[in-house]
Amino acid sequence: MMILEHRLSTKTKRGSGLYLRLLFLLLAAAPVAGGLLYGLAYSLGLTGALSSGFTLQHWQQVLASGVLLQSLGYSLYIAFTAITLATATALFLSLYFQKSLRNGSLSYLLYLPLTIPAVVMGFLVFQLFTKSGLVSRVAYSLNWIPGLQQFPDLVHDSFGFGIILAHTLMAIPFLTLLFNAIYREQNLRQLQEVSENLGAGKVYFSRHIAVPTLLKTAAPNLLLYFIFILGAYEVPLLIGSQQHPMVSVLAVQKFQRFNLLDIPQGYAISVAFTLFVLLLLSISFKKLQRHA
Amino acid sequence: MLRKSLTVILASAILLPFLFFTVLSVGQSWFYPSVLPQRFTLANWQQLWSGQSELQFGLVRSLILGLGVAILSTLLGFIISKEIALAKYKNRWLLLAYWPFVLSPVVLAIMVQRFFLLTGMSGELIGVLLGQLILAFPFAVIFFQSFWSREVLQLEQQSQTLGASAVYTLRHVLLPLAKSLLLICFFQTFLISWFEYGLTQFIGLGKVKTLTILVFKYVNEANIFHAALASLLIMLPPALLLWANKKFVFRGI
Repeated sequence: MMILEHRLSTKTKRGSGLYLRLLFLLLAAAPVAGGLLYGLAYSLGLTGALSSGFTLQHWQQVLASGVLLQSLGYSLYIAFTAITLATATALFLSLYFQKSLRNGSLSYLLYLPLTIPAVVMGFLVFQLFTKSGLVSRVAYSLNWIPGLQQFPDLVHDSFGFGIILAHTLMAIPFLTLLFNAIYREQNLRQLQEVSENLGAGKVYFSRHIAVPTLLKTAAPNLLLYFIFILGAYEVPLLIGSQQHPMVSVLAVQKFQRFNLLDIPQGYAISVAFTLFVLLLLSISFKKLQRHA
Repeated sequence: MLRKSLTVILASAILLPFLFFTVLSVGQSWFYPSVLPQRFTLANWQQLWSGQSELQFGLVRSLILGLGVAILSTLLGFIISKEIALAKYKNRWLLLAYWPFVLSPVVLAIMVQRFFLLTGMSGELIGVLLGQLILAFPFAVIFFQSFWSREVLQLEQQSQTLGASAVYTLRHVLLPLAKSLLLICFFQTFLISWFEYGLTQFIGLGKVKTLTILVFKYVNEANIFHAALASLLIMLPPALLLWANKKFVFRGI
């Protein structure tokens, strides 16, 4: 009887375990895998309102027009510039304000910008840096510019100044806190004392010990943040240039047009972007593992 | 001296968005080149608390979604994370949990939109809730991996060896141990939902007007005063919570 009960409970556990794993697959993996397969099928003409059998026409159109490559190049430029600026600033802040970040006011204040989502940051940058924004008004009141026309185009511009600024501002607090946590975990303070005892200056310690350690440890997070900016949607939609859409905006534009023939192209762009990100991740993580 | 000046500049820059949006939210007409709005009024705030304003509904909708997503993903994440932690090919399972984060939320929304259209959940609150779970639930599973250490599993086994039932072990051993992590996970999954825009816009078809959707709507309508108020409503609750208990909520980051 005892053996039977034990078997039953094992069976039930195994059964419930199977259901839990199925639930996990259903909620986490199935939407992405299903969506990717559906998108691929749609872009190859295998499904959808105007499908007429297998075709590479939509992929050819997307690739031949060069619009995807342009958009991808622009997104890479934005993401690379923003993450570089944010990393440099965060490194400076985490090293220069080490004491204040440990116990001072900054240890609390730096968490506050984390409560600003992308859509709000886009709106903030727009209100600050548009021609009639706060910065332009302050510049006018200080007689730095004669009128709003003389204020430079910092929003909706081709160079993506507004997008870069918004993403840099969002990334700086996160990266500063990350570097600060790594600084503590890696015992860099003790290492600094040791290097000072051995005659190294603060600059030497920062350049040859602190910065390389912080960058190396934070590399996976920096890569993931880079990918997050690469797929950004809200900020470029609010303050980006109409002529140079980032990839997510381009994909959505294809879906929102009245021409139904644009939808397979939208799916082709989405699938291509997903594959590009997966490729980038796998190559980068292999390289990171090799250097670890 | 330089360090102090830089600290003051940095602190001012951090507080600027809160101050700026507060001023705009009580403003009315802001013509160039005035640095401050011409008129100040509490009408926007009063509208929020009285009557059936769009912002009030947006706030309630965001709260319902945030709480729903946080409760479901924390609960399911806690239960399922144990199954994944004990799985033979744990890393392969975990890799699947990272999938949704590889994609931009809006690209993910485009991909899964068809499913929601077919099931009639597009444009519905339940559809948006399920859509947001695609992001929040795997996060919770990944988050709780650190909890299921060998020590915790041994404690669970010990409790059951001593005759405690599974429910008793859960209530008196596991839940007290996981209490702080459960709260952090609840807070962070709440924020995933609270800040979400792409999935909400596409699965909700613009009909499920949460606060983030409303910010966009007001910006497009050039209604900067309402957009500022909606932005403040998004930023203030987590900011206040952080201010009150930063160490507790973000412990472990």
